[in-house]
Amino acid sequence: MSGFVATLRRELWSFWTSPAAFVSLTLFLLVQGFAFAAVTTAAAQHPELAELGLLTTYLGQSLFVPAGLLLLCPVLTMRLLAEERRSGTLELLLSAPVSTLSLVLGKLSAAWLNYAAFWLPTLVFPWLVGEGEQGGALLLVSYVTVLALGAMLLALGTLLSAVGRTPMLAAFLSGTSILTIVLLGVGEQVFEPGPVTAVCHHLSLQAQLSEGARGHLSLATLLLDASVVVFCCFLTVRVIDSWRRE
Amino acid sequence: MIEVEGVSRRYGRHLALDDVSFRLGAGSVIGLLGANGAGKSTLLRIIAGALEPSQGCVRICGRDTVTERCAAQAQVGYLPETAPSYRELRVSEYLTYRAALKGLARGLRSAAVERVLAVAHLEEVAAIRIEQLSRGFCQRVGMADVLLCEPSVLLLDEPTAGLDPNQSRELRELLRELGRTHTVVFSSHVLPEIQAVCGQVLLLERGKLVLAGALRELQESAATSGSSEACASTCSVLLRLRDPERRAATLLAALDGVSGIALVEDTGEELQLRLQLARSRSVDQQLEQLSLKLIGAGIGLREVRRETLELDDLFSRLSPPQEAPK
Repeated sequence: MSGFVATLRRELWSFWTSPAAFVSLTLFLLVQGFAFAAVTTAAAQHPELAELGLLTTYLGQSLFVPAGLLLLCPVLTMRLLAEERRSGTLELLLSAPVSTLSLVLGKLSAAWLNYAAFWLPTLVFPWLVGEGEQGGALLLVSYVTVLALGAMLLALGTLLSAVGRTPMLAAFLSGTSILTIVLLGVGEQVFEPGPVTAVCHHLSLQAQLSEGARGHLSLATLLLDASVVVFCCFLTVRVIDSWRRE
Repeated sequence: MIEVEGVSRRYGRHLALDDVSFRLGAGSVIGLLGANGAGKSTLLRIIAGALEPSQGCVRICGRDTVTERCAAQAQVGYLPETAPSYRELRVSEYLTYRAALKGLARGLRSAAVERVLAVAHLEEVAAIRIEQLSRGFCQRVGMADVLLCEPSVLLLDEPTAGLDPNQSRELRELLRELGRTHTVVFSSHVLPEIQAVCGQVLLLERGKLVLAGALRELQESAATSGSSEACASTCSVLLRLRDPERRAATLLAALDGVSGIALVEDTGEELQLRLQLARSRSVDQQLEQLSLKLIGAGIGLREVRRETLELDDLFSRLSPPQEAPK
Protein backbone atom coordinates (compact mmCIF):
# COMPACT_ATOMS: atom_id res chain seq x y z
CA MET A 1 0.00 0.00 0.00
CA SER A 2 2.84 2.40 0.85
CA GLY A 3 4.32 1.67 -2.58
CA PHE A 4 1.02 2.49 -4.27
CA VAL A 5 0.50 5.81 -2.47
CA ALA A 6 4.14 6.88 -2.82
CA THR A 7 4.17 6.07 -6.55
CA LEU A 8 0.82 7.78 -7.12
CA ARG A 9 1.88 10.96 -5.36
CA ARG A 10 5.27 11.06 -7.06
CA GLU A 11 3.74 10.60 -10.50
CA LEU A 12 1.14 13.32 -9.91
CA TRP A 13 3.74 15.69 -8.47
CA SER A 14 6.21 15.13 -11.28
CA PHE A 15 3.51 15.57 -13.91
CA TRP A 16 1.95 18.75 -12.57
CA THR A 17 5.26 20.45 -11.81
CA SER A 18 6.35 20.15 -15.43
CA PRO A 19 5.46 22.75 -18.07
CA ALA A 20 4.58 19.90 -20.45
CA ALA A 21 1.47 19.16 -18.36
CA PHE A 22 0.10 22.67 -18.81
CA VAL A 23 1.01 22.83 -22.50
CA SER A 24 -0.79 19.50 -23.07
CA LEU A 25 -3.78 20.64 -21.02
CA THR A 26 -4.02 23.90 -22.97
CA LEU A 27 -3.85 22.11 -26.34
CA PHE A 28 -6.37 19.49 -25.24
CA LEU A 29 -8.84 22.12 -24.04
CA LEU A 30 -8.35 24.15 -27.22
CA VAL A 31 -9.19 21.10 -29.33
CA GLN A 32 -12.20 20.15 -27.17
CA GLY A 33 -13.37 23.77 -27.00
CA PHE A 34 -13.14 23.98 -30.78
CA ALA A 35 -15.07 20.70 -31.06
CA PHE A 36 -17.85 21.94 -28.81
CA ALA A 37 -17.99 25.27 -30.65
CA ALA A 38 -18.22 23.37 -33.95
CA VAL A 39 -21.08 21.25 -32.57
CA THR A 40 -22.90 24.36 -31.37
CA THR A 41 -22.53 26.01 -34.78
CA ALA A 42 -23.68 22.86 -36.57
CA ALA A 43 -26.69 22.54 -34.27
CA ALA A 44 -27.75 26.07 -35.21
CA GLN A 45 -27.87 24.98 -38.86
CA HIS A 46 -29.24 21.45 -38.34
CA PRO A 47 -32.23 21.35 -35.94
CA GLU A 48 -32.01 17.53 -35.62
CA LEU A 49 -28.68 17.93 -33.85
CA ALA A 50 -30.14 20.48 -31.47
CA GLU A 51 -32.96 18.03 -30.70
CA LEU A 52 -30.45 15.31 -29.91
CA GLY A 53 -28.77 17.63 -27.44
CA LEU A 54 -25.44 19.44 -27.72
CA LEU A 55 -23.71 17.32 -25.05
CA THR A 56 -24.91 14.10 -26.72
CA THR A 57 -23.72 15.33 -30.09
CA TYR A 58 -20.37 16.56 -28.72
CA LEU A 59 -19.50 13.39 -26.77
CA GLY A 60 -21.33 10.84 -28.88
CA GLN A 61 -21.11 12.02 -32.49
CA SER A 62 -18.04 14.27 -32.73
CA LEU A 63 -14.82 12.68 -33.94
CA PHE A 64 -12.85 15.12 -31.82
CA VAL A 65 -13.44 13.07 -28.66
CA PRO A 66 -11.91 9.81 -29.99
CA ALA A 67 -9.19 11.96 -31.57
CA GLY A 68 -8.61 13.52 -28.14
CA LEU A 69 -8.29 10.05 -26.61
CA LEU A 70 -5.90 9.04 -29.38
CA LEU A 71 -3.62 11.98 -28.58
CA LEU A 72 -4.10 12.27 -24.84
CA CYS A 73 -3.69 8.67 -23.65
CA PRO A 74 -0.24 8.09 -25.23
CA VAL A 75 0.97 11.42 -23.82
CA LEU A 76 -0.16 10.46 -20.33
CA THR A 77 1.32 6.95 -20.37
CA MET A 78 4.42 7.12 -22.56
CA ARG A 79 6.77 8.06 -19.72
CA LEU A 80 5.31 5.86 -16.98
CA LEU A 81 7.75 2.97 -17.29
CA ALA A 82 9.77 3.65 -20.45
CA GLU A 83 11.23 6.80 -18.90
CA GLU A 84 12.17 4.92 -15.72
CA ARG A 85 14.03 2.47 -17.91
CA ARG A 86 15.71 5.17 -19.99
CA SER A 87 16.85 7.29 -17.05
CA GLY A 88 18.04 4.40 -14.87
CA THR A 89 15.55 5.04 -12.05
CA LEU A 90 14.03 1.65 -12.78
CA GLU A 91 16.81 0.13 -10.69
CA LEU A 92 15.62 2.16 -7.71
CA LEU A 93 12.11 0.79 -8.15
CA LEU A 94 13.25 -2.78 -8.65
CA SER A 95 15.37 -2.64 -5.50
CA ALA A 96 12.61 -1.06 -3.38
CA PRO A 97 10.73 -3.27 -0.93
CA VAL A 98 7.38 -2.89 -2.68
CA SER A 99 5.29 -5.23 -4.79
CA THR A 100 5.33 -4.79 -8.56
CA LEU A 101 1.52 -4.61 -8.58
CA SER A 102 1.49 -1.62 -6.22
CA LEU A 103 3.94 0.19 -8.54
CA VAL A 104 1.81 -0.53 -11.61
CA LEU A 105 -1.44 0.46 -9.91
CA GLY A 106 0.17 3.63 -8.54
CA LYS A 107 1.32 4.67 -11.99
CA LEU A 108 -1.93 3.75 -13.73
CA SER A 109 -4.02 5.54 -11.09
CA ALA A 110 -1.88 8.67 -11.45
CA ALA A 111 -2.34 8.62 -15.24
CA TRP A 112 -6.09 8.13 -14.80
CA LEU A 113 -6.37 11.03 -12.34
CA ASN A 114 -4.41 13.22 -14.76
CA TYR A 115 -6.77 12.11 -17.53
CA ALA A 116 -9.78 13.00 -15.37
CA ALA A 117 -8.22 16.38 -14.61
CA PHE A 118 -7.90 17.05 -18.37
CA TRP A 119 -11.61 16.32 -18.90
CA LEU A 120 -12.77 18.19 -15.80
CA PRO A 121 -12.83 21.70 -17.38
CA THR A 122 -15.02 20.39 -20.23
CA LEU A 123 -17.86 20.01 -17.68
CA VAL A 124 -18.31 23.76 -18.15
CA PHE A 125 -19.44 23.28 -21.76
CA PRO A 126 -23.02 22.02 -21.02
CA TRP A 127 -23.56 24.91 -18.59
CA LEU A 128 -22.43 27.42 -21.17
CA VAL A 129 -25.30 26.38 -23.46
CA GLY A 130 -27.82 25.82 -20.67
CA GLU A 131 -27.88 21.99 -20.78
CA GLY A 132 -26.10 21.44 -17.47
CA GLU A 133 -29.01 21.88 -15.10
CA GLN A 134 -31.47 19.77 -17.10
CA GLY A 135 -29.33 16.73 -17.76
CA GLY A 136 -27.46 15.88 -14.55
CA ALA A 137 -27.89 12.11 -15.00
CA LEU A 138 -26.96 12.29 -18.68
CA LEU A 139 -23.90 14.30 -17.79
CA LEU A 140 -22.90 11.76 -15.15
CA VAL A 141 -23.33 8.74 -17.44
CA SER A 142 -21.53 10.49 -20.30
CA TYR A 143 -18.51 11.30 -18.18
CA VAL A 144 -18.46 7.88 -16.46
CA THR A 145 -18.22 6.42 -19.98
CA VAL A 146 -15.38 8.78 -20.86
CA LEU A 147 -13.56 7.86 -17.64
CA ALA A 148 -14.12 4.11 -18.12
CA LEU A 149 -12.83 4.27 -21.69
CA GLY A 150 -9.87 6.28 -20.45
CA ALA A 151 -9.02 3.67 -17.82
CA MET A 152 -8.99 0.98 -20.50
CA LEU A 153 -6.80 2.94 -22.93
CA LEU A 154 -4.46 4.11 -20.16
CA ALA A 155 -4.00 0.54 -18.93
CA LEU A 156 -3.11 -0.42 -22.49
CA GLY A 157 -0.73 2.55 -22.66
CA THR A 158 0.90 1.54 -19.36
CA LEU A 159 1.53 -1.95 -20.70
CA LEU A 160 3.03 -0.53 -23.90
CA SER A 161 5.18 1.85 -21.85
CA ALA A 162 6.64 -1.25 -20.18
CA VAL A 163 7.17 -2.93 -23.55
CA GLY A 164 8.58 0.10 -25.39
CA ARG A 165 12.16 0.86 -24.50
CA THR A 166 11.84 4.61 -24.96
CA PRO A 167 8.98 7.02 -24.25
CA MET A 168 8.68 7.85 -27.96
CA LEU A 169 8.39 4.19 -28.92
CA ALA A 170 5.84 3.68 -26.13
CA ALA A 171 3.82 6.65 -27.41
CA PHE A 172 3.97 5.32 -30.96
CA LEU A 173 2.83 1.83 -29.89
CA SER A 174 0.06 3.26 -27.73
CA GLY A 175 -1.13 5.66 -30.45
CA THR A 176 -1.09 2.89 -33.05
CA SER A 177 -3.08 0.56 -30.77
CA ILE A 178 -5.73 3.17 -30.06
CA LEU A 179 -5.96 4.05 -33.75
CA THR A 180 -6.46 0.34 -34.51
CA ILE A 181 -9.32 0.21 -31.99
CA VAL A 182 -10.85 3.33 -33.56
CA LEU A 183 -10.58 1.76 -37.03
CA LEU A 184 -12.10 -1.51 -35.78
CA GLY A 185 -15.05 0.57 -34.63
CA VAL A 186 -15.42 1.88 -38.18
CA GLY A 187 -15.87 -1.74 -39.28
CA GLU A 188 -19.30 -1.61 -37.69
CA GLN A 189 -20.40 0.66 -40.51
CA VAL A 190 -18.38 -1.12 -43.22
CA PHE A 191 -19.28 -4.82 -42.87
CA GLU A 192 -22.63 -6.52 -43.36
CA PRO A 193 -24.45 -7.16 -40.06
CA GLY A 194 -23.16 -10.34 -38.41
CA PRO A 195 -20.66 -11.58 -35.83
CA VAL A 196 -17.86 -9.36 -37.20
CA THR A 197 -19.91 -6.19 -36.85
CA ALA A 198 -20.95 -7.31 -33.34
CA VAL A 199 -17.29 -7.59 -32.33
CA CYS A 200 -16.53 -4.23 -33.99
CA HIS A 201 -19.46 -2.69 -32.13
CA HIS A 202 -18.24 -3.94 -28.75
CA LEU A 203 -14.72 -2.69 -29.41
CA SER A 204 -15.80 0.62 -30.92
CA LEU A 205 -14.81 3.68 -28.90
CA GLN A 206 -17.30 5.76 -30.84
CA ALA A 207 -20.13 3.31 -30.05
CA GLN A 208 -19.29 3.37 -26.33
CA LEU A 209 -19.14 7.15 -26.31
CA SER A 210 -22.34 7.40 -28.28
CA GLU A 211 -24.21 5.05 -25.92
CA GLY A 212 -22.91 6.94 -22.88
CA ALA A 213 -23.82 10.29 -24.37
CA ARG A 214 -27.40 9.03 -24.78
CA GLY A 215 -27.48 8.12 -21.10
CA HIS A 216 -27.15 4.35 -21.58
CA LEU A 217 -24.64 2.79 -19.22
CA SER A 218 -24.09 -0.79 -20.32
CA LEU A 219 -22.80 -3.24 -17.73
CA ALA A 220 -21.28 -5.35 -20.49
CA THR A 221 -19.29 -2.36 -21.73
CA LEU A 222 -18.10 -1.51 -18.25
CA LEU A 223 -17.11 -5.15 -17.68
CA LEU A 224 -15.22 -5.17 -20.97
CA ASP A 225 -13.33 -2.01 -19.94
CA ALA A 226 -12.60 -3.44 -16.48
CA SER A 227 -11.41 -6.74 -17.96
CA VAL A 228 -9.00 -4.95 -20.27
CA VAL A 229 -7.66 -2.92 -17.31
CA VAL A 230 -7.13 -6.05 -15.19
CA PHE A 231 -5.55 -7.98 -18.08
CA CYS A 232 -3.21 -5.11 -19.01
CA CYS A 233 -2.18 -4.65 -15.35
CA PHE A 234 -1.48 -8.37 -15.08
CA LEU A 235 0.67 -8.28 -18.23
CA THR A 236 2.48 -5.13 -17.09
CA VAL A 237 3.39 -6.80 -13.79
CA ARG A 238 4.65 -9.83 -15.70
CA VAL A 239 6.74 -7.63 -18.01
CA ILE A 240 8.33 -5.76 -15.08
CA ASP A 241 9.02 -8.98 -13.19
CA SER A 242 10.65 -10.37 -16.33
CA TRP A 243 13.13 -7.45 -16.22
CA ARG A 244 14.58 -9.01 -13.06
CA ARG A 245 15.28 -12.16 -15.06
CA GLU A 246 16.41 -10.58 -18.35
CA MET B 1 24.08 -11.13 7.14
CA ILE B 2 24.67 -11.75 3.40
CA GLU B 3 24.79 -15.32 2.13
CA VAL B 4 25.53 -15.88 -1.54
CA GLU B 5 25.34 -19.53 -2.57
CA GLY B 6 26.35 -20.77 -6.01
CA VAL B 7 25.07 -17.69 -7.80
CA SER B 8 25.36 -17.65 -11.58
CA ARG B 9 23.86 -15.07 -13.91
CA ARG B 10 23.50 -15.21 -17.65
CA TYR B 11 22.63 -12.39 -20.04
CA GLY B 12 21.61 -14.42 -23.03
CA ARG B 13 24.67 -16.48 -23.86
CA HIS B 14 27.04 -14.35 -21.83
CA LEU B 15 27.84 -15.74 -18.41
CA ALA B 16 28.25 -12.66 -16.20
CA LEU B 17 28.59 -14.51 -12.88
CA ASP B 18 29.78 -18.06 -12.50
CA ASP B 19 29.02 -20.00 -9.33
CA VAL B 20 29.85 -17.24 -6.85
CA SER B 21 29.56 -18.12 -3.17
CA PHE B 22 30.53 -16.23 -0.02
CA ARG B 23 29.17 -15.16 3.34
CA LEU B 24 29.56 -11.79 4.98
CA GLY B 25 28.88 -11.05 8.62
CA ALA B 26 27.67 -7.89 10.30
CA GLY B 27 29.89 -4.92 11.01
CA SER B 28 32.37 -4.95 8.18
CA VAL B 29 33.32 -2.96 5.10
CA ILE B 30 33.93 -5.16 2.09
CA GLY B 31 35.54 -3.95 -1.11
CA LEU B 32 34.31 -5.49 -4.33
CA LEU B 33 37.08 -5.43 -6.90
CA GLY B 34 37.25 -6.45 -10.51
CA ALA B 35 37.98 -5.18 -13.98
CA ASN B 36 35.21 -3.72 -16.12
CA GLY B 37 32.77 -6.46 -17.03
CA ALA B 38 33.93 -8.71 -14.22
CA GLY B 39 30.40 -8.87 -12.82
CA LYS B 40 30.59 -6.44 -9.87
CA SER B 41 27.45 -4.45 -10.70
CA THR B 42 25.55 -7.62 -11.58
CA LEU B 43 26.47 -9.13 -8.23
CA LEU B 44 25.38 -6.02 -6.33
CA ARG B 45 22.10 -5.86 -8.26
CA ILE B 46 21.40 -9.50 -7.47
CA ILE B 47 22.08 -8.96 -3.76
CA ALA B 48 19.80 -5.90 -3.88
CA GLY B 49 17.02 -7.98 -5.43
CA ALA B 50 16.89 -5.86 -8.58
CA LEU B 51 17.99 -8.90 -10.60
CA GLU B 52 17.29 -12.56 -10.07
CA PRO B 53 20.13 -15.06 -10.31
CA SER B 54 19.94 -17.63 -13.09
CA GLN B 55 21.14 -20.19 -10.55
CA GLY B 56 21.83 -20.20 -6.84
CA CYS B 57 20.35 -18.02 -4.13
CA VAL B 58 21.08 -14.94 -2.05
CA ARG B 59 19.83 -14.43 1.49
CA ILE B 60 19.89 -11.17 3.41
CA CYS B 61 19.48 -11.68 7.15
CA GLY B 62 18.10 -15.13 6.33
CA ARG B 63 15.53 -13.84 3.77
CA ASP B 64 15.74 -15.10 0.20
CA THR B 65 15.93 -12.24 -2.31
CA VAL B 66 13.62 -14.05 -4.76
CA THR B 67 11.01 -15.84 -2.66
CA GLU B 68 10.94 -13.23 0.15
CA ARG B 69 11.99 -10.30 -1.96
CA CYS B 70 10.31 -7.43 -0.13
CA ALA B 71 11.42 -8.66 3.32
CA ALA B 72 15.01 -9.04 2.07
CA GLN B 73 14.99 -5.67 0.28
CA ALA B 74 13.76 -3.94 3.43
CA GLN B 75 17.17 -4.75 4.95
CA VAL B 76 19.15 -3.32 2.03
CA GLY B 77 20.17 0.15 0.97
CA TYR B 78 21.38 0.07 -2.63
CA LEU B 79 23.14 2.84 -4.53
CA PRO B 80 23.40 2.05 -8.25
CA GLU B 81 26.45 3.12 -10.22
CA THR B 82 25.11 6.37 -11.65
CA ALA B 83 23.06 7.33 -8.57
CA PRO B 84 19.89 7.81 -10.59
CA SER B 85 17.09 9.97 -9.19
CA TYR B 86 14.02 11.88 -10.28
CA ARG B 87 15.71 15.04 -11.41
CA GLU B 88 12.56 17.15 -11.50
CA LEU B 89 12.11 16.76 -7.73
CA ARG B 90 13.75 18.82 -5.01
CA VAL B 91 16.23 16.95 -2.83
CA SER B 92 13.92 16.85 0.22
CA GLU B 93 10.93 15.86 -1.93
CA TYR B 94 12.90 13.05 -3.48
CA LEU B 95 14.07 11.72 -0.13
CA THR B 96 10.54 11.96 1.30
CA TYR B 97 9.25 9.99 -1.67
CA ARG B 98 11.94 7.36 -1.21
CA ALA B 99 11.18 7.11 2.50
CA ALA B 100 7.50 6.54 1.67
CA LEU B 101 8.37 3.97 -1.00
CA LYS B 102 10.52 2.10 1.50
CA GLY B 103 7.56 1.93 3.85
CA LEU B 104 8.72 4.40 6.51
CA ALA B 105 5.73 5.55 8.58
CA ARG B 106 4.45 9.01 7.66
CA GLY B 107 5.27 10.48 11.09
CA LEU B 108 8.90 9.35 10.90
CA ARG B 109 9.66 10.55 7.39
CA SER B 110 10.59 14.17 7.98
CA ALA B 111 12.91 13.26 10.88
CA ALA B 112 14.56 10.56 8.75
CA VAL B 113 15.00 12.98 5.85
CA GLU B 114 16.54 15.63 8.11
CA ARG B 115 18.90 13.04 9.58
CA VAL B 116 20.21 11.84 6.21
CA LEU B 117 20.42 15.40 4.87
CA ALA B 118 22.74 16.16 7.78
CA VAL B 119 24.78 12.97 7.37
CA ALA B 120 25.29 13.59 3.64
CA HIS B 121 25.85 17.36 4.15
CA LEU B 122 22.92 18.25 1.94
CA GLU B 123 21.04 20.71 4.17
CA GLU B 124 21.95 23.68 1.99
CA VAL B 125 20.62 22.09 -1.18
CA ALA B 126 17.52 20.45 0.33
CA ALA B 127 15.18 22.83 -1.50
CA ILE B 128 17.01 22.69 -4.84
CA ARG B 129 15.89 20.58 -7.77
CA ILE B 130 18.16 17.60 -8.33
CA GLU B 131 18.60 18.55 -12.00
CA GLN B 132 20.44 21.68 -10.83
CA LEU B 133 22.97 19.76 -8.73
CA SER B 134 26.47 18.70 -9.73
CA ARG B 135 27.27 15.02 -10.14
CA GLY B 136 28.99 14.93 -6.77
CA PHE B 137 25.90 16.28 -5.05
CA CYS B 138 23.70 13.80 -6.95
CA GLN B 139 25.95 11.06 -5.61
CA ARG B 140 25.43 12.39 -2.11
CA VAL B 141 21.67 12.45 -2.64
CA GLY B 142 21.94 8.78 -3.61
CA MET B 143 23.98 8.14 -0.47
CA ALA B 144 21.37 9.90 1.65
CA ASP B 145 18.69 7.74 0.04
CA VAL B 146 20.61 4.59 0.92
CA LEU B 147 20.77 5.58 4.58
CA LEU B 148 17.10 6.57 4.88
CA CYS B 149 15.61 3.56 6.62
CA GLU B 150 18.79 2.57 8.45
CA PRO B 151 19.20 -0.70 6.55
CA SER B 152 21.54 -3.33 7.94
CA VAL B 153 23.20 -3.93 4.56
CA LEU B 154 24.55 -1.15 2.33
CA LEU B 155 25.43 -1.92 -1.28
CA LEU B 156 27.28 0.86 -3.04
CA ASP B 157 28.28 0.62 -6.67
CA GLU B 158 31.21 2.98 -7.27
CA PRO B 159 30.01 5.47 -4.63
CA THR B 160 32.91 7.89 -4.98
CA ALA B 161 32.58 8.35 -8.74
CA GLY B 162 32.22 12.05 -9.44
CA LEU B 163 33.21 13.18 -5.95
CA ASP B 164 36.05 15.61 -5.39
CA PRO B 165 38.93 14.51 -3.10
CA ASN B 166 37.42 16.14 0.00
CA GLN B 167 34.04 14.56 -0.63
CA SER B 168 35.69 11.19 -1.25
CA ARG B 169 37.56 11.47 2.03
CA GLU B 170 34.35 12.37 3.87
CA LEU B 171 32.57 9.43 2.27
CA ARG B 172 35.39 7.08 3.25
CA GLU B 173 35.12 8.27 6.83
CA LEU B 174 31.36 7.79 6.71
CA LEU B 175 31.78 4.26 5.34
CA ARG B 176 34.30 3.42 8.04
CA GLU B 177 31.86 4.64 10.66
CA LEU B 178 28.94 2.77 9.11
CA GLY B 179 31.06 -0.35 8.83
CA ARG B 180 31.07 -0.67 12.63
CA THR B 181 27.35 -1.39 12.74
CA HIS B 182 26.39 -2.26 9.15
CA THR B 183 27.59 -4.59 6.47
CA VAL B 184 28.89 -2.31 3.75
CA VAL B 185 29.80 -3.72 0.35
CA PHE B 186 31.20 -1.25 -2.13
CA SER B 187 32.75 -1.61 -5.51
CA SER B 188 35.46 0.70 -6.70
CA HIS B 189 38.23 0.93 -9.24
CA VAL B 190 40.18 3.23 -6.92
CA LEU B 191 42.34 0.68 -5.17
CA PRO B 192 43.82 2.99 -2.49
CA GLU B 193 40.25 3.73 -1.52
CA ILE B 194 39.52 0.05 -0.97
CA GLN B 195 42.78 -0.24 0.89
CA ALA B 196 41.93 2.72 3.11
CA VAL B 197 38.43 1.61 4.05
CA CYS B 198 37.95 -2.10 3.65
CA GLY B 199 38.80 -4.86 6.02
CA GLN B 200 37.89 -7.50 3.48
CA VAL B 201 37.89 -7.77 -0.28
CA LEU B 202 36.12 -9.83 -2.88
CA LEU B 203 37.80 -10.01 -6.26
CA LEU B 204 35.81 -10.98 -9.31
CA GLU B 205 37.52 -12.09 -12.47
CA ARG B 206 35.33 -12.73 -15.52
CA GLY B 207 32.38 -13.61 -13.35
CA LYS B 208 34.27 -15.88 -10.98
CA LEU B 209 35.14 -15.06 -7.41
CA VAL B 210 38.91 -15.55 -7.38
CA LEU B 211 39.73 -14.02 -4.03
CA ALA B 212 37.89 -13.45 -0.80
CA GLY B 213 39.19 -12.66 2.62
CA ALA B 214 40.77 -10.18 4.98
CA LEU B 215 42.74 -7.63 2.98
CA ARG B 216 45.91 -7.73 5.06
CA GLU B 217 46.13 -11.50 5.01
CA LEU B 218 45.54 -11.55 1.29
CA GLN B 219 48.26 -9.02 0.64
CA GLU B 220 50.71 -10.87 2.83
CA SER B 221 49.90 -14.27 1.40
CA ALA B 222 50.07 -12.99 -2.15
CA ALA B 223 53.45 -11.43 -1.39
CA THR B 224 54.60 -14.73 0.02
CA SER B 225 53.25 -17.21 -2.40
CA GLY B 226 52.80 -15.18 -5.51
CA SER B 227 49.63 -17.13 -6.03
CA SER B 228 46.01 -16.31 -5.74
CA GLU B 229 45.50 -18.66 -2.81
CA ALA B 230 43.68 -16.77 -0.15
CA CYS B 231 45.17 -18.66 2.77
CA ALA B 232 48.85 -19.18 2.29
CA SER B 233 50.48 -20.91 5.24
CA THR B 234 53.44 -18.57 5.59
CA CYS B 235 54.12 -14.87 6.01
CA SER B 236 57.02 -13.12 4.31
CA VAL B 237 59.30 -10.83 6.37
CA LEU B 238 62.18 -8.70 5.11
CA LEU B 239 65.18 -8.09 7.39
CA ARG B 240 67.89 -5.46 6.88
CA LEU B 241 70.95 -6.28 8.97
CA ARG B 242 74.53 -5.31 9.75
CA ASP B 243 76.14 -8.72 10.00
CA PRO B 244 79.85 -8.68 9.15
CA GLU B 245 80.34 -12.29 10.27
CA ARG B 246 77.37 -13.59 8.29
CA ARG B 247 75.90 -15.47 11.25
CA ALA B 248 72.31 -14.28 10.94
CA ALA B 249 71.12 -16.95 8.50
CA THR B 250 72.38 -19.76 10.72
CA LEU B 251 70.80 -18.25 13.84
CA LEU B 252 67.47 -17.65 12.15
CA ALA B 253 67.31 -21.10 10.60
CA ALA B 254 67.42 -22.58 14.09
CA LEU B 255 64.30 -20.70 15.18
CA ASP B 256 60.92 -22.46 15.34
CA GLY B 257 58.50 -21.36 12.65
CA VAL B 258 61.11 -20.16 10.14
CA SER B 259 60.41 -22.22 7.08
CA GLY B 260 62.67 -20.49 4.61
CA ILE B 261 65.47 -17.94 4.31
CA ALA B 262 66.55 -16.24 1.12
CA LEU B 263 69.28 -13.70 0.50
CA VAL B 264 67.85 -10.62 -1.18
CA GLU B 265 70.91 -8.36 -1.27
CA ASP B 266 74.41 -8.32 0.14
CA THR B 267 76.19 -4.99 -0.13
CA GLY B 268 79.11 -6.07 2.02
CA GLU B 269 78.24 -3.58 4.68
CA GLU B 270 74.58 -4.57 4.87
CA LEU B 271 72.56 -7.70 4.33
CA GLN B 272 68.93 -8.15 3.30
CA LEU B 273 67.19 -11.45 4.01
CA ARG B 274 63.68 -12.63 3.30
CA LEU B 275 62.19 -15.03 5.85
CA GLN B 276 59.13 -17.21 5.55
CA LEU B 277 57.39 -17.50 8.92
CA ALA B 278 54.74 -20.09 9.67
CA ARG B 279 51.28 -18.68 10.16
CA SER B 280 50.45 -21.55 12.47
CA ARG B 281 52.14 -19.51 15.24
CA SER B 282 51.69 -15.84 16.03
CA VAL B 283 53.75 -13.92 13.52
CA ASP B 284 54.14 -10.99 15.95
CA GLN B 285 55.60 -13.27 18.61
CA GLN B 286 57.98 -14.83 16.10
CA LEU B 287 59.14 -11.36 15.07
CA GLU B 288 59.79 -10.44 18.69
CA GLN B 289 61.78 -13.66 19.25
CA LEU B 290 63.91 -13.31 16.16
CA SER B 291 64.63 -9.65 16.93
CA LEU B 292 65.79 -10.53 20.47
CA LYS B 293 67.91 -13.40 19.14
CA LEU B 294 69.66 -11.24 16.54
CA ILE B 295 70.25 -8.33 18.90
CA GLY B 296 71.47 -10.74 21.60
CA ALA B 297 74.00 -12.13 19.12
CA GLY B 298 75.35 -8.64 18.45
CA ILE B 299 73.87 -8.38 14.96
CA GLY B 300 72.72 -4.89 13.99
CA LEU B 301 69.00 -5.04 13.25
CA ARG B 302 68.21 -2.07 10.99
CA GLU B 303 64.74 -2.97 9.72
CA VAL B 304 62.09 -5.64 10.16
CA ARG B 305 59.21 -5.38 7.70
CA ARG B 306 56.30 -7.65 6.91
CA GLU B 307 56.00 -7.84 3.18
CA THR B 308 52.62 -7.08 1.72
CA LEU B 309 51.69 -6.68 -1.88
CA GLU B 310 50.16 -3.33 -2.74
CA LEU B 311 46.57 -3.77 -3.70
CA ASP B 312 47.06 -2.59 -7.26
CA ASP B 313 49.85 -5.14 -7.71
CA LEU B 314 47.61 -7.78 -6.26
CA PHE B 315 44.78 -6.66 -8.52
CA SER B 316 46.88 -6.72 -11.68
CA ARG B 317 48.36 -10.09 -10.72
CA LEU B 318 44.97 -11.69 -10.13
CA SER B 319 42.97 -9.80 -12.69
CA PRO B 320 45.14 -9.47 -15.82
CA PRO B 321 43.96 -7.20 -18.63
CA GLN B 322 41.18 -8.78 -20.62
CA GLU B 323 40.93 -9.03 -24.35
CA ALA B 324 38.10 -7.09 -25.88
CA PRO B 325 35.12 -9.36 -26.47
CA LYS B 326 34.79 -10.46 -30.08
